[in-house]
Amino acid sequence: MPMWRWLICGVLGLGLGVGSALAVSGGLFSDAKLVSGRWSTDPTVGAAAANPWLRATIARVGLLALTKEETVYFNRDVDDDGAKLVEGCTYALSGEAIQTRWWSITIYGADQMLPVNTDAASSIDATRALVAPATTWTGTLSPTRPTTPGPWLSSKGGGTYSLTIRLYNPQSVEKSALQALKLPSVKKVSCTQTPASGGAH
Amino acid sequence: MAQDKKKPGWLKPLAFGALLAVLGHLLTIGLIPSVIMNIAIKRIAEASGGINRLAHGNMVTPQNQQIVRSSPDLAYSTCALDLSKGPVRVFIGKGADYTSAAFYAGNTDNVFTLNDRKIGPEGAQIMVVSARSPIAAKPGEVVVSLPSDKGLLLVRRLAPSAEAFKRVQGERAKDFCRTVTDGM
Repeated sequence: MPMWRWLICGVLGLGLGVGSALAVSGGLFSDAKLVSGRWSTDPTVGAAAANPWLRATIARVGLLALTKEETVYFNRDVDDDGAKLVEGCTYALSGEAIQTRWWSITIYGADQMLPVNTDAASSIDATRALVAPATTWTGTLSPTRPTTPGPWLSSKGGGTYSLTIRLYNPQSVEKSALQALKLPSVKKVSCTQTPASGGAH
Repeated sequence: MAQDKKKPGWLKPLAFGALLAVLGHLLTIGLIPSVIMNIAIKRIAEASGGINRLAHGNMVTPQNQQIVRSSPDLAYSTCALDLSKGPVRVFIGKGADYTSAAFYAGNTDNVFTLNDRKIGPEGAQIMVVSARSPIAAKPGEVVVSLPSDKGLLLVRRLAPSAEAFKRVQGERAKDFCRTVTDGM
């Protein structure tokens, strides 16, 4: 029997196995189990009982996560209309008080790192957004500093990016409670370039 | 007849390829956490000046971020744990705001987290032991058992502003992570 058949099948098989493992752990086929609006989370993140595939995914895209009792991480990479979040667009953020001890929204690029810029606006947190006695807030997500008041999240250098909201010590981690949370909305206001030409770093 | 001869020629190599695909997938999935965790442990140990030493990070910025998905609103302290030569003692001082000490095993599992709601005004005394060789802790000490000799301690303190970060620097000044044989 010709050895080349074994060689071809062996190399292709190994490549398929390793490639699929890297694709799955990179979140390519991620199917978060819990959705609240356009935000989604996997409640098993950080749990010791997480399955090997989820554990591999966490190691690559969310290393050193906390358990849901300590922190729930919701993510989104689309605006309220379902379009991808891109550096070239400006978005209006709005939210209200959330039943959690403290929260913060952080922007991450495709490489899961903070976009490289010197704007000092990589996150918005409850202490800055909701100054007592306010119970609602509005802000801006854009690549340049806005002229409108309110907290600013800079997308400069973000390319096609995602947002993560951390909810520390949420009042309840029950599925129904998490689904019912009124998490911040992200509405597109304007774009200066097409999504495909969004900057990268 | 020609087809009958061809089928057996490909069947076994294809089955071999499928077997390698499954093995390659499972092996890669199984290795990813420990490989990435070992890299993280190595980097943190280098940054801390060695294993079982607590290092306090600066305010996280896009320029100094070292790990994926860091939060700029938190002050991080890290300790690369190695229990192969004995248990490790940790002290975490009480903070004015959110504080947590999370312990991770070598496979990335978050095996234990203590937050400020459970830390008294005098701070938290923690003994980290290996599941293979646990030892008795002092009265009042919290015992954390890691399933592996290697792991990580990540302390998070809420510091969403420069003022808060300055306050946290004072709060964590007495925190430590040391092997018991260091005389503790």
